[in-house]
Formats: sequence, structure tokens, C-alpha cells
Amino acid sequence: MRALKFLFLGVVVAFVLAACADSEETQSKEGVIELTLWNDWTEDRPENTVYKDIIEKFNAEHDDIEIISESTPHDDYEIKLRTQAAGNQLPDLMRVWPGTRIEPFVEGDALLPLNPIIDHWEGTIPEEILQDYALGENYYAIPSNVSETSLIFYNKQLVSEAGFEEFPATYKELKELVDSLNSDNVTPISVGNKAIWPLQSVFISGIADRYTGSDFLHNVLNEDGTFENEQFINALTVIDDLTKSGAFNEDMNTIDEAQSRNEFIKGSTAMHFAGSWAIGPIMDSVDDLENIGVAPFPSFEGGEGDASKISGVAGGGIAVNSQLSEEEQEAAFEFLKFYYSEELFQELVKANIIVPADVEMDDSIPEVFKEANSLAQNGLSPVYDATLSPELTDIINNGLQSITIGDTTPEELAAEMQAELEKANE
Amino acid sequence: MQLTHKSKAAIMIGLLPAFLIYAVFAIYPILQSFYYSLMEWDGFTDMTFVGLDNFRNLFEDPLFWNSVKNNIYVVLASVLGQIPLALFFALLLNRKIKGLKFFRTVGFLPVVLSTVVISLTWSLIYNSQNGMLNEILRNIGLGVMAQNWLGDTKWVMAAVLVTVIWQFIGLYLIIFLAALQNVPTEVLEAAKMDGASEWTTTFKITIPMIWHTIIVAVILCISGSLKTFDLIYVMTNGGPAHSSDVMALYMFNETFNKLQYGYGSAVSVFIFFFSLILIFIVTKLFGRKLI
Amino acid sequence: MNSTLPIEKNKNKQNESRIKKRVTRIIIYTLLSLFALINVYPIVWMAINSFKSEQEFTVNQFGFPSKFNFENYANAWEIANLGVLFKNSIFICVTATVVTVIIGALASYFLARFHFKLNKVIYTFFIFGLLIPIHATLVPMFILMKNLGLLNTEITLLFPYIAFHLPITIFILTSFMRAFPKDIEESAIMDGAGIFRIFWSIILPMSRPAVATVIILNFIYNWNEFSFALVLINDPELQTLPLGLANFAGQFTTNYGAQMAGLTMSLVPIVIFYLFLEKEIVNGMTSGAVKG
Repeated sequence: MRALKFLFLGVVVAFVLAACADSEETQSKEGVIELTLWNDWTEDRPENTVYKDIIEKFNAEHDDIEIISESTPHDDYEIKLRTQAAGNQLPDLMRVWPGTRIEPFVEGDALLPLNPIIDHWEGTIPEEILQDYALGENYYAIPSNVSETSLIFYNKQLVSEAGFEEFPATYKELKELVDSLNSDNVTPISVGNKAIWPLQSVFISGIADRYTGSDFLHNVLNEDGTFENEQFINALTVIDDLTKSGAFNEDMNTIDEAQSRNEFIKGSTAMHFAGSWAIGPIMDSVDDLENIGVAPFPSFEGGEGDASKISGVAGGGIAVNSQLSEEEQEAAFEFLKFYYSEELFQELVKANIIVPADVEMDDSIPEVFKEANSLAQNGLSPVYDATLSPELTDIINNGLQSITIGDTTPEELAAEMQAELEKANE
Repeated sequence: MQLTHKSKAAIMIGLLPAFLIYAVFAIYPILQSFYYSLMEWDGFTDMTFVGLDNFRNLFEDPLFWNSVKNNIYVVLASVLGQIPLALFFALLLNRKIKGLKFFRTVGFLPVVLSTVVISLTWSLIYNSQNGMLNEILRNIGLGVMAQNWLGDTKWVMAAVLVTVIWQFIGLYLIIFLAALQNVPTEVLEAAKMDGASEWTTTFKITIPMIWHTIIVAVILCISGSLKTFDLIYVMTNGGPAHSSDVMALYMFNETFNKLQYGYGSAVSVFIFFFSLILIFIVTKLFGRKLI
Repeated sequence: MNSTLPIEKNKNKQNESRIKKRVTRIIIYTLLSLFALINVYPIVWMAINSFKSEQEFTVNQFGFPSKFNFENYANAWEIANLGVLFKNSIFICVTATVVTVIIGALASYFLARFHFKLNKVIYTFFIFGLLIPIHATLVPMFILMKNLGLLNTEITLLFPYIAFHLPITIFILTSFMRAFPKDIEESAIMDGAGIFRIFWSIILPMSRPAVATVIILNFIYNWNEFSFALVLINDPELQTLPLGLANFAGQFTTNYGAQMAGLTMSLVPIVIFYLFLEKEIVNGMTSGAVKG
């Protein structure tokens, strides 16, 4: 029983301590507008430091506005945000993702349109990219970066040892490379599909666009066309084809994206298919920068798409709560104008983040980054999970995984997606 | 008991604090969730009453029944795996042997360990290419038995279940250890004097004396298994292709990823009543007057 | 000759039983060692990797670190603000555990030792709590706490933690207290002890192993609880450990070295706490708990 009594004493002490701590709490200053900004910048990465530094600078330069940043780990951020939304208690400013992911917010009138200040970025950020955060006539956030989702990182040495001086530009050649690597006992492509989005977001966004062209997805969702389209099925079949030809690591469905990237960094696989988010981590950890190359997805025979395009979507947007008072709205607008500035873009490029604005790049910027950045100049094609409804995303994610383990066929998956779409459109 | 008559007020005072806080902060929210199960709600726009539609859709979803099936495996594995193993180790550790304290502490460690670490380390064991399990199998000449444990729909549940069983043995271990302290040593010694073997005393005396605690553990095990979430969420997230999905995971995804609060609540209602029925059956079969 | 036979026989028998004993012992220790090995492996892995730099973790997840890198600990402490998190976690855990066990034990006492009309109903009502899937209650709990003005305060987490762990506390304690012989209170009443006196000086001490068990369970659940802490607390100054330790995982990358360092540090208090209470479980009756 002594233990219990000790504990009891502990509680009393703790309460007293808590009570003392309470009285020290600072009152919010008179005349200062405080705005809470929610984000997922918990990790110690260069880009997160950039974001936080700009906020600090803003606070230092503005006596009448105080931005309070509150970070939640990425994987839990949306759960928290959605719970908060259900309780009608959203923060003043919040990091949001484009496309279908802001739709529910807009439908619930939770976000303030940024139309009054959108002209501020005219000439800096292309309209095409601003559109990612727009719904109907209204703009709801400004992008700070562009995520290219379909890049091929390759190990120059391993690829040339397999007999390829140039990285394959067609799927046929890529398959030859895969076969050649396999005969050398090198795993061709490392994939970490445990979280089930990479095959869809990285692979299908890129491959399907090559086959179907960039208007396909939009058209199908508007009931002009079908997922059971031959070209779309061809795209899904590529996953089956690659799996069967042993292009992927055997444990692809049990490791996550970061682990598969590590295999590539270690030099145990020749290629890694990923988005521009992988540039920074690869640059940070790889031994020999010169040995890493980056390439767009190859062209596919019979494909109707433009092979110079890359799938990509805007990111880094901060939305404003629609319930702010007029005064607070003004403050929020002022903050956004300050935040999405030339300086932010400059700093992000240094952190290996692709930005939606033209930034001058000096020699300190690595080749891989410049190459990846130039790929975005020919126009972006849609990213599947930024465009599909959550239900459809769930189906295609799981379906692609099923294809890799032989549980379903491309035709079945296409039919399942079409059935879900028709159910939703009813 | 003679106390009963004069003690109405005391009973009230004794039960009230627990009752109040439990009713407000546990029962009220779950009732609220039951109420949502009759609604269609995305958490952003207003809810609309849809009657039993959510349940109808739920019962028509093969993925839901798949998660129920997997969840029943979890219940069976936990009840038939955790309880006997925990009892076995509790009986071993209730003896006077050297290193007792070390083993007792170590036996409990998995319970306190972060799910993240458990998931990372067991995933490394199960990895198909360089995992410890496959390496061992290959080294002892059983290479043909090597599997893609977490990546194969046929094996993933088995692999996950082993980890689940392992993770919570310690929990029941200490519950049983606590109960074993109540078995009077005199009785056991008397039996030994009469020439009873250790097997006999264990099965004829010790186990019957803690039978009640075993049923308590079985009930905790069933209710815990039907809510199981954390480990599977981190380790496989229900994959590959839903083959290790369980009810709580299904509910979580429907609620927070697809923003169907009403539908997700319908799953929670199902989990609640499903556990209730299972526990009712268990107590009817083995336990007297538990509930 | 004849007379020596029984002795011989006896000797043989003794030998046999000695061998048997030794074999049993070997089997027991083999089993226990195996069990210990699988249980210790994850912890050793965690501790070893807590000394690796990010780069080294990338290429080497199994072996020992090339050099012991204590930076992770310093980084984890600073970046995750672990000092504050520890303080908050300890306060919440200890308070919630003590309150839960005290009011839970009191309720169990009445449910286990008294006959009254609603006994069964109330007991069943508490047991229902074992069946509540926690994620189903996140949104309703958030709304409830918001309406009560209890979001984001020092004591916010106490309410759900206490409420959600009362069921298991009451379930275990009640079943334990029911097993005591009926005449225990009777002699106390003879001595003129009151109802609460009997609870405090007889029933509670007798339940020592079970009380220690539920204290441990409560403490662990509270120490590792994530979901309620995630949705009910915003202020970084009020966050608890599990939330802070999740901060090392980003969208596309995770700083495993720092995370393992943080997790290792957060394991220490709870293991100490367990060691402290384990004695209570196993020494329960033998050390004469009746004396209190």
C-alpha cells in the first residue's frame, strides 16, 4: 500500500506544480491579432525550417499581427483537422492539399475564397498551377511548391553496367534494361508500396497519362468516357507486366516508400520511381551525387499522351478559415502576401523543393534538381489521388496492389472503378 | 450481508464518482456515436437522417465481412494463444527459481513497448528478402518454407497474429501472477505431502482456484481483440489488398479517410454488439455469474 | 543381500528423480530464455539504432553503430521538447491512474461485497465500457469537450483517460474482491469498523496484487495513449510524449535515429514504474497483506 500512498502524494505535488505554472501564463497583448496556423512541419527538414523562418520574420516585422504555428505529424494531421472540422472548430489558417482533398471543406463553407488578393501573384505563379487550389470560380489557397509525382531516379553506374549509356526513352528499352539488370542479379526498381499510394500516385499517374492523354481522367469523371477504356487498361497492365518480369523488389508490399528509397540510396537497386519529394532525401544521403541521374517516364508504344509531360500537382497551400472577422481576414491576407513571396521560393529551391515560380538558379543547385525542375516546364498532367474521390482512390490503390500479388486483373480493376464511379454519380 | 440495510447512502457515495465520470465521458460519447450511425454526415456539411441505410450498406460490403472474418481470427488466436501461453509462463514464474525477477520483468516488456518499435522490428524479422525468419529457415535447410510473410495474402494474417499474441502475453501474465498469489501455499504443500505430482496439483488445485481469473482474462482478451487497431495499423495497414483488415481499421478508414462519420459509427455499433454477444456466450459456457 | 535391495532401489529412485529434476530445470530455462530473447530483441534493436546517424540507419539497420552517436539524444530532447512532454505525461498519467484506481476500487468494493437492487445493472453498465472502440468516440468526445470548455487545458486528458479505464479497473478489482471469503467483514463489524474503514484497512490491502495490476495497466495505457491526445490538445506546451515522439515522422521521411532515442528515453520511466510495482503483485499474500 505504500506504493499507492506515494502515488497519491505525487498527485498532490503535481497539482500544486500545475497550479503554479498556470499563474505564469501570459495574457495576449492588447491590439494584437493572433492567428493560429496549423501545419505538418514537425520534422527537422530544410523546407520546414524555411517555412518556419518566414513566419518568424513576419512576426518580427509586424507588431499588430502574431502568427502562432502549431504542428502535427503528417500522418495524423488530417485526422485532427477533420475532427476539428466536425466540431466546427477549425484553426484560423491551415495547411491544405489541393483537388479532391479541399472539396469537403469548400462544400461545408469552411474556407474563405482568396479572390480579393489573387492578383497579387499574377505573373509570378502560372494560372494553371493556381487552378489546383481553385474550385469553381474561387481560389482557396496559394501553392508554394509543385510535386512532380512521376520521376525515375537511377544509379548511373548500375545502368551503364547493364549496357545502357543513355537512360531508356521507351518502355521497350526499359524492359530490356530490367531484363539485363535481372540477369546481373541487381534488383531493377525499388518500390515501397506498403502505404499503397506509390503505385497509383507515382506509377499510374505517369503511365496512364502516356497512354490516355491528360484529358482522359477529367472526362471520365464527368461521364464522358469510361475507366474500361482500352488505353487505361493498357496502363494498368504495365504494372502487371513489370511485376511479372521481376522489375520490383520482392518485399515491395511490405516496406514503405522511405525504406525503398534507402535501398536505392544504398546502391542495391538500379532505379527508384518516386516524386520530387525524394530529391532532397536522396541528395542528403547518397555518397556520390554524380552517380545519380533523373529521367522522366518513358514513352509507351501506341500511347495517345504527350510524352514530354509529367504528372504533378501544386502543394504547400495555406487556407483561411471562413469564420474570421473582417479584421482578422485582413491580417490573414497580409500574411499570405508576405509568406508566398520571391524569398520563399528562393529558399525552397535551396532546400531542393520544386516551386511554381521562376527562380534563378546558380551553380550551387545540384544537376538532378535542375533536371527535375526543367521537366515541369512542359506542362503538368493530373495526379490520380489528387483528382479521384477518396473511394475511387481507395479502390485503385488496393487494386494495383492486388495486381502485383496476382489477386486481380487490370480489366477487373477498371470495371470495379467504373462501377464505383457510376454508383457515386447516381 | 448485515451491512446492506444501513448502507444505502454509503453505496451511493461509493459508486457515484466512478459512475458520473464514466457516464459523461465514456457512455455519452458512444451513445452519440450510435446516434450518428443513423445519419449521413461528412463532418463538414449538415447531417441528414437516413434510418438504417448505413447498416444496410455495411452488411452488403464484402470488405466489411472480410474484416469481420479477420477479426474473428484475432479473437481466436488471442484467446487460444495468449491465455494458455500466459498461464504457462505464469505457472513457471510462480516457482522459486533463479533469475525469476529478470524473466518476470522481461516477460512484461512487450506490453510497454511502443507499437512503432514492435512493428519495425517484427517487419524486419518477417522481411522476405533479408528477414531473420527466412534466413533461419534457409540455414536449417527449410528454404522452401520461406515466405513473403507480410506481403502474401495467404500468410499475412498468420504473421500478424503471431506478433499480436506475443505483444500481449505479458498483460495476462501479470494478471495470472496476481491471481496465483491468492492460492494458499498450505493447500499445495498438503497435496504434495499426499504424494500428488506437480501436474496433478497444477490441474486439480491451482487452475481451478484461479479459474475465475482465467475467465476474466478471456473476457478482456475478447473485448480487446475486437477493438484491435494499433499494431495492425502500423504494421500492415490492413494490407496487402485488405487481407489483414480488421473491424476497427475498417471503421477508421471509412470515418477519417472517406469522411463517412455515420457509416463509421455504424461499424462501431456493430463492434459493440458483436463483442457483447461473444462475451455473453463465453460467460454462459464457462463462467458463473460474471455478468 | 536381500536387505540392501530396498536401499539400492531407493538410491536409484533418488538418482532418477534427481536427473528428472535436472532435465525439467533445463527445459524450463531453455523455454524462459527463448521467451526472454524474443522479448528483449526489439528493445535492444531500438537502443542500438538510437545511436545511429540518419545516414547510417539508411544503410545499416541490423548491426552495431560504427560509432556511438549521442547527438540523437540531444536532438530528440531539444527538437521534440521532451522536457515539457515528460512533465505533462507524468502529471497526466499519475493523476489519471490514481483517481481511476481510487474511485474504481471504491466502486468495486461495493459491487463485489454488497447486495443491492441495482448491483448487477450497474456492474454490467461498467463492463460495457470494455467494448467501446476508441476511434468511434473521437468526434463525439471532441464536441463534448468543446461544449464543456475543456479543450486544450492541463486537465483535459484526465477525463477521457479516467472514464475509459474505469471499466477494466472495476472489472479486474471486482472479480478479485469477490473471491474473498464472506466472513471477512463480519469480524470487522464485530470490532465496530465502519463501511469505509473496512474498505480502506481490510479490502484494499487484501487486494494488493490486483490493485498493483490495475495501476500498472492504467499507467501504461495512459502513457502510450495517442488518439485523444491528438484531437483534444493543440498547445505544444500541453502535449504528451506519444504525440511528441510521432513528430519525427514526416510525410516522406522519418528521422529514425532521433525517434529511437526519444522512444528509448520514454521507456525508462515506465520500466522503473513497473519494477516498483511488480513487487506488490508477486509478494501480495505471502508477505501478509492482511496486516495492511
